[in-house]
Amino acid sequence: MILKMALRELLSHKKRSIITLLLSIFSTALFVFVSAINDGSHKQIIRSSVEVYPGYMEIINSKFEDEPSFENLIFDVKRTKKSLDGIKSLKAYSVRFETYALYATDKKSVGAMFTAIEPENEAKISRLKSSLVEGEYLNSDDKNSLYLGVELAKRLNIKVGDTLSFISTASDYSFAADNLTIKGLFKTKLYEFDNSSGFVNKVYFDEVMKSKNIATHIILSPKDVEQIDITTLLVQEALSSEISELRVKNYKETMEDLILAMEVDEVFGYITLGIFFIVIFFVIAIFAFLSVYARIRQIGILRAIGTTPKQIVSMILIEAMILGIISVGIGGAVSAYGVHYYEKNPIELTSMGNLDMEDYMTQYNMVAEITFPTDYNPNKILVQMFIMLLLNLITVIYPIVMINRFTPTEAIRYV
Amino acid sequence: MKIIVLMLFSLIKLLAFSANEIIKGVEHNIQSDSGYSKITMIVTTSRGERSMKMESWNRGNEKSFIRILYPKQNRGITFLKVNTTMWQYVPKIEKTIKIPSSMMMQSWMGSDFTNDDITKESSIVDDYNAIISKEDNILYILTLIPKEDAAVVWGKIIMTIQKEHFIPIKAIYYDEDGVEKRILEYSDIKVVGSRYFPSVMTLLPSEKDKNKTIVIMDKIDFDAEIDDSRFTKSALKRYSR
Amino acid sequence: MFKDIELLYFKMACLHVFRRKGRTLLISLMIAISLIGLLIMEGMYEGMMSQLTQNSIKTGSGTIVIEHKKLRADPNIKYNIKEAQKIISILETESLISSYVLRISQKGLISTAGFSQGVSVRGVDLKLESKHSEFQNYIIEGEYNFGIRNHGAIIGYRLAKKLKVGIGKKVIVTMQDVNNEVLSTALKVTAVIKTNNMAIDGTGLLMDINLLRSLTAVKGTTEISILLSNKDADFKVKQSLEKKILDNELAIYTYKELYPSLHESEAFMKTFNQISSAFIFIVATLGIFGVVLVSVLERVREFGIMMAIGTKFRDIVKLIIYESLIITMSGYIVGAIIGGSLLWYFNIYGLDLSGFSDAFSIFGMDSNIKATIKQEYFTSSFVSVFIATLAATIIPIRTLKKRNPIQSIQEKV
Repeated sequence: MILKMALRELLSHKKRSIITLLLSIFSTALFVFVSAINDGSHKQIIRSSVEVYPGYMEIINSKFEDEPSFENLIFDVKRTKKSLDGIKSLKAYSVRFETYALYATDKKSVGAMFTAIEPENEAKISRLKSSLVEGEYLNSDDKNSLYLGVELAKRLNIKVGDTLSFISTASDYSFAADNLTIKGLFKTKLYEFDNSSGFVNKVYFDEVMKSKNIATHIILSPKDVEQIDITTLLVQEALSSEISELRVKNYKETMEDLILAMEVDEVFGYITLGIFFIVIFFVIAIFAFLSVYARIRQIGILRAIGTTPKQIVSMILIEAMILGIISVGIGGAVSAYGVHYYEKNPIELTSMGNLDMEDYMTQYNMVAEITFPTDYNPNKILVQMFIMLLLNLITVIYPIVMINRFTPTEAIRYV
Repeated sequence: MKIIVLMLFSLIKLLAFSANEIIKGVEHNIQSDSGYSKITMIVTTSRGERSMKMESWNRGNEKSFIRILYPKQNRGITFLKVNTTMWQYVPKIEKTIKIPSSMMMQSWMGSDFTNDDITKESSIVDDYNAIISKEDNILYILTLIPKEDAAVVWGKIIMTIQKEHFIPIKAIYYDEDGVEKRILEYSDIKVVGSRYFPSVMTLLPSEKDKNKTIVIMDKIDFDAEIDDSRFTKSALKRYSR
Repeated sequence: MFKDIELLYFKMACLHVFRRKGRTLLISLMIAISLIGLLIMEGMYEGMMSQLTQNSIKTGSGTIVIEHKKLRADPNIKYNIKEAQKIISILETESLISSYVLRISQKGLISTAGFSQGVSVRGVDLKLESKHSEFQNYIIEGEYNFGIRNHGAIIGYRLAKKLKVGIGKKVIVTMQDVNNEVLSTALKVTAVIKTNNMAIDGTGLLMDINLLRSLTAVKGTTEISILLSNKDADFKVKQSLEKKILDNELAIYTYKELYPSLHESEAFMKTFNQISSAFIFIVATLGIFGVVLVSVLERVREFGIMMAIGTKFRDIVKLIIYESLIITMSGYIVGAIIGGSLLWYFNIYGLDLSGFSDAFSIFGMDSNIKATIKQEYFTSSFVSVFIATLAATIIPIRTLKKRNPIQSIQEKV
């Protein structure tokens, strides 16, 4: 009975109901979509920053963090690799030896990073290979071939095919020097990285730097990034049982600052959204108020014939519920579809007005990202829809309070 | 009787040395204006033991020329230091490289000495203020504090010196916070002319207990005849083979 | 000024507004709260961006910087400005320049007994900098001086952490001079600085310019950093300087050329704020519209009676407009006062988010955000509220006309 009355009320004031519906649909869709883009782009930025070189998980000697010297290396790479074999949630791993060398041409010498990689494995766990801009990437047969960052090449005034020399200290502290030919140049667009890194094949590196079966880092890539914490624990367990001095860290630790920055950005996004919602829901509240208000006399009569206040309240609530459910349902469904679509086909934004996105991000040493995927999370969407529904209901609180202040006789006589 | 004791006392007082004079005495023992030496350096690390043989020429403290003789793969590497600048020639890559400031703290040839140590074998008297902190019949213990503007990383050095011939026995290096960073031990004293010099020097870094660098002077000539041309950049390649 | 009759309408409007307190309250509240939110959002966001830009400009290269033209491509100290005096006398003639300083910058190695890493050394004159970059405001530990003997160093807080040095500790700086010879000097840490400019905080060291000059044998200076009283005049001043300084060894850069995205971010934020405001006011118009419509339609008969006794329709319109404006403007006033006071407070004291200071420093921002207050926030929102109100009354008035008030007197309720 009450339900019928509620429905009739809504239908007889179509314009009002439609405006409320539209507003609520719009805000639900906005909430879901903006939040999904926020999440998606933050995840993307973190993912890109992790994948370009640092990697999702890294194994190091636990003393290496505080003292990155040749005393604290991973001394038995084979055994460590073996202990990782049993872990199914790992997609790939690759070994690196990072150290410092003097790169010298006839005219200039510059100190920079000199790192050994396993070319094929490295391609599976970082974007080093895909950052190639000139020449060729390394392969496991390479000797004396250097894969150099573009900015460093500029500093040294050197191009693909030229030779330079490196001087360094081998892992047994002996003197190491050799000539290298530039095989390829890479550009990750992270200026600092491109300006200070060079890579060679580990097989060759091991000969000159006496580092066979030794490494500074083993980088791991999980099959499912969402499950990374569990995978990290599994790896740590596997390591501890075999080799006690090794430790595994994942990107949440190594890139703490970036993650925090993204969270801050998220908060600001929600604050902005919040201000929009305040206006929207005030307007919905105003419409709800007006609709109840216009019926004061009607409600007074209802009260006079015996309807309890509770029933009046339920009627108003049910009206709000109906509008709410329909609008949230439509808004949620439409935006969920949109989010799902844009997850696979992200929005490309090379610029926002005058702002060139690449420049903007490299300025903050973040990997330049021009695609903004959304993050499709059905659970989150449902929660958001529920929140919107709640907000719809809150808008009728004031009208309800107001209406119950009238005695039936006052209400009937209301002008 | 008393007068004789008093006179002896004042005589001894007159003969007492100031800290700077003690240091000058030490430096006379170990430095030369024109020297040549043949050196063996043994570096022990957690990864094992390596030895290197080299020859060295010097003109006072400002110029020195070193040529590596052994091991074979490093044979022919030459170093030239003129004041605070150091060059290196590496035959394998056929390049002469000036060691840039960014490499100054890197280890020299894998030893516990840094490039900076090699270029800054400066006179202690110039960079430090010395006081005699303890003294007994056999030894002086000097405390050296760097002068205000001295470009040295150490907070203080404590030197133990044998009184009789100003022979250095030990030097302990501390950082600015008073933490012991390394110990230099001198041993195997040889007499050459008026000099009593320790032919073996052992460097023990305090924080890496497995590491040790031993420098043995196999042969030393304090008054060698050295041509000035040896201390030029062109000498690096010329004297390499 | 107002005729008596106008005043009467005004009084009637007020009366009506008071009679319908509920809806008046809702609209006023809506406008007030959204205005507060909008003001704070605009002020804080613009404040953040402008702080960022200002900071980067002040502690970095300045609004305009003059360097040797080869320095950017090859940061070798031999590419310096030899005749600085000549340029300074030209700078004195440029009225828009509020301050300028000479600096010598060089890259080197900083070491303690336990640690060494690369460092960006800047030789500065602390007295001149105090009016220019105001480095003294960024000191978090120690004192703003280079010690009695000028052998002091002010280092970035991240660098200090890595080196594990505090006030009074000695650091050795090794670098190359004009002739590429290696030199070392000992400096004592006199202060630690946090500028939120990563270049300084992570790898920067400030030392006395004259000491650096004598060490490196640089006769002139590597950069002349210039601050303008109006940062938007950068291009104009650059052109003027280029004409006056006829030296083709030198290059003049504006901050927009060196950091394009800084300026663009500011512009972007402005646009974003404008779009947000527009959106909010469009929605608000909807709310006002609803209320006005209802309040007009429920009084059709009342208006009919008024028109019957001679009130012109024009005057009814006036009445409706007055009512609407009273409601919305009261919301505006409350919102402007509260929002304005909050903004004023945040402008002076800033919003302290120091819990997130690490995250902010990635963006190069200070965790204490100072809001900007601009008159245009208030004027543009005033105009928007005004226009929104008028716009909201259009349809209700049309509807009223269609209803033919006089006729409606006869109608039964």
